[in-house]
Amino acid sequence: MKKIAILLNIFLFIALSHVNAQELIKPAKLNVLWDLNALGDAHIEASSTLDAAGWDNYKRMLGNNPDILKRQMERAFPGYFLQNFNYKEDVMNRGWTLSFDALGLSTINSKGLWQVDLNSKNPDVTKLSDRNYVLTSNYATQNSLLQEIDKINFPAVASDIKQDKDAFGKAMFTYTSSSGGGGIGGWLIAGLGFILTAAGLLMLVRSKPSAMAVVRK
Amino acid sequence: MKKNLPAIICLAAGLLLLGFHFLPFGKGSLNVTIKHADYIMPAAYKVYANPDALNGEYYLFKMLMNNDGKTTLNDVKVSYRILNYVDWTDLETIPKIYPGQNAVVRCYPQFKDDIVNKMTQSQEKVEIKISYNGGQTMNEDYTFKMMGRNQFVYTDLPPEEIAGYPDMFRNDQLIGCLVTPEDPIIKYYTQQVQEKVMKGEEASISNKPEDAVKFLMGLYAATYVSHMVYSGTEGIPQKLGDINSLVQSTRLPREVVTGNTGLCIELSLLYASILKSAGLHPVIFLIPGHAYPGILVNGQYYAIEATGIGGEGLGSRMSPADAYKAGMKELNEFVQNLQAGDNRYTYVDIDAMEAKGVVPMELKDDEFLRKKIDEIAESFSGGSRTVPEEPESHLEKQSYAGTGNSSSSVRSYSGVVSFSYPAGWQRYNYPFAQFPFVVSAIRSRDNTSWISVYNLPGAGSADQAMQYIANRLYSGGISVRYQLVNNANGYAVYRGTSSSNTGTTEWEGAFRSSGNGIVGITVGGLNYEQKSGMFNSILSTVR
Repeated sequence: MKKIAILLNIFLFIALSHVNAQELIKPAKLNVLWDLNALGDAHIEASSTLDAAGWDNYKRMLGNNPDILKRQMERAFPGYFLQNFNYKEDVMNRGWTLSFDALGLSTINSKGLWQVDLNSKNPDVTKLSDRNYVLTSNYATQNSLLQEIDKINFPAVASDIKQDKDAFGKAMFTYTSSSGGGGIGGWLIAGLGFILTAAGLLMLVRSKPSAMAVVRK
Repeated sequence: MKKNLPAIICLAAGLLLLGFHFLPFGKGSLNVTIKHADYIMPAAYKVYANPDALNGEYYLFKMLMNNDGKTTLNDVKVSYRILNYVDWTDLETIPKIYPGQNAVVRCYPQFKDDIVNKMTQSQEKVEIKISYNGGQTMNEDYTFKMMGRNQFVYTDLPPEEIAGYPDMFRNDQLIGCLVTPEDPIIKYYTQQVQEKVMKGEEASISNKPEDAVKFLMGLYAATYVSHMVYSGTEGIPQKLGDINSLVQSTRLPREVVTGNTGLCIELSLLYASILKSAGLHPVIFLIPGHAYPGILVNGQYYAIEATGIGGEGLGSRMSPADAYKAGMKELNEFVQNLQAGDNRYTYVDIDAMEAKGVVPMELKDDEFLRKKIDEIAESFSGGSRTVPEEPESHLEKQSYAGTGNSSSSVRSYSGVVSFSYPAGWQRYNYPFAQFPFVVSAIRSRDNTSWISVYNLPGAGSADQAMQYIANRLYSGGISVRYQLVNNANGYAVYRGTSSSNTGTTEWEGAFRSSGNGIVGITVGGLNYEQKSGMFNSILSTVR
């Protein structure tokens, strides 16, 4: 998660470095929303609002090539396949939003659990609800301070969400999925199968006593 | 039986539906997309092997597997091999891929250490095998270029993705792979220098800047007394898959020492290797067309102009004191440019990059090379080869003949055009991969003046050539304005300015027909008016 902040920081640091030593340094904020779907893909939306100096520098670095952000994201997530990039600016409020899809962000591990890697050790995680978590990270690089707030929304089918560590001590989330990933259609078929099987068995059982009764006569 | 028929049908239908859901009936279908590296540099084999190195950017391939069938795929196992380099290796087994699900597999290959013995480039094939559902298989393959160990490719971006200078030199972050402090040959050389030139030193123990600077100058003195000379190596643009990049043949530090010659980047790599081997904190400063080594002590940087050794054939040589003075002057300019936001000025902190996984290659000891070092170390003992106490030359004295210097300070360029230029200036062939029409660039040591040589086959006229150059440079972020000022002796003479986000420079150029196109040069730089005499002198020698 921290990679987004580090890569975007390059666009911010020069402006932030002008802060006077006596002033209270307010970090620039980067909000990142992670929406995971039942199949483990994620829709990611990063947004930030800058002060005037920060915006000036950001525009200078970005120039007329917002596609640089796309490349930066591809470098930040070399392990995934990114697509459907969309970039919007709110110039009157010095804000920008970048969204894209990361395919295969959550995978099924050897224990059969879905797994999301956080790529950081001991992150500061707050549980908002059973399926909503927030990670807060602060970075001081290139003389600037940046706060990244990552909100992770797990899919409605996710349950038993746990924070865990991999073999290298890196944090991760694991969860089970009530759909198994097969989608609602798959479970409708399974449900119908259960009903029909149960109904068939019931009909067979109910027809058995009457047959016995005939023998006793 | 008839009475139970509805129950049996109901039961059969139910079991069938359950079977469809839980058992691998139906057809599973796997759709695969592969993204791969167009080339592998053996020198960086430890970076390619480490998923955590440089954020895992340098992978062999990554593969997206999408189950676009109707049933779940079980136990999807991916393995790969590179013939002659990596045997069949299992990458990952994914227990399940549900219908519609995507799964990504990444490959960070574990090459053997002997990959660094590969000297020339070759085309190699990666074979990928995917097996699933206990028997179904799928095979994929692709080819890539395996470079030689000395070949350094400066970017991994395709031309259409390159937005500016940093993109053209994106692989600078891998330069640390060529810094080899653990090489037994470099260690041996370092010991010889410490013992015979420096007569003992304590820079890494004392952590005092004066000791570190003394070490830098002592190292320079060692290259000076051994008569190491500055000389270029091949640097040519190459097409590697979708990538067009400058590929430079870079000698390893052990080859620089034993060959007793090196280019600026090679000397910088040598200095960095020795500094690190001696327990110091090396840095390499990279500026347009040049590199020089430095050191970080107590948060302060110090630099030296390693190429000051020059060589008798190149004109004068700098004393260690002069080389240090020149290095600090360059460092001062470097900091000014960096603060001004010029992204062409960067530095590589070897220790910091090592922490990010950029680690050197494994090199074996070599008795022959040790003997070579013994021979070189004999020159450290004195004799006729001594280090001058007083400065032998100074940067400013290396300016062009137009200021009154003797003819020995002039060098000749012979290519698509011929002309003379100051001896102290440095020449680079095909310096810009995305501008192949610039066949050479020659710049002054202080980087304030330069010459560009152009070759544009197919151009119908000088005007057409100028227009093409201006258009291409504009795509690289450089705005060119020019005007034809004269037509004489078959040459069209132009004057103009080039502006980028780093500032504006003035130049004058002469272009002529070459039979099948247009060739020519431009000469210029900063403070044009002050140096116009020198620039005109260069132009007057164009043949």
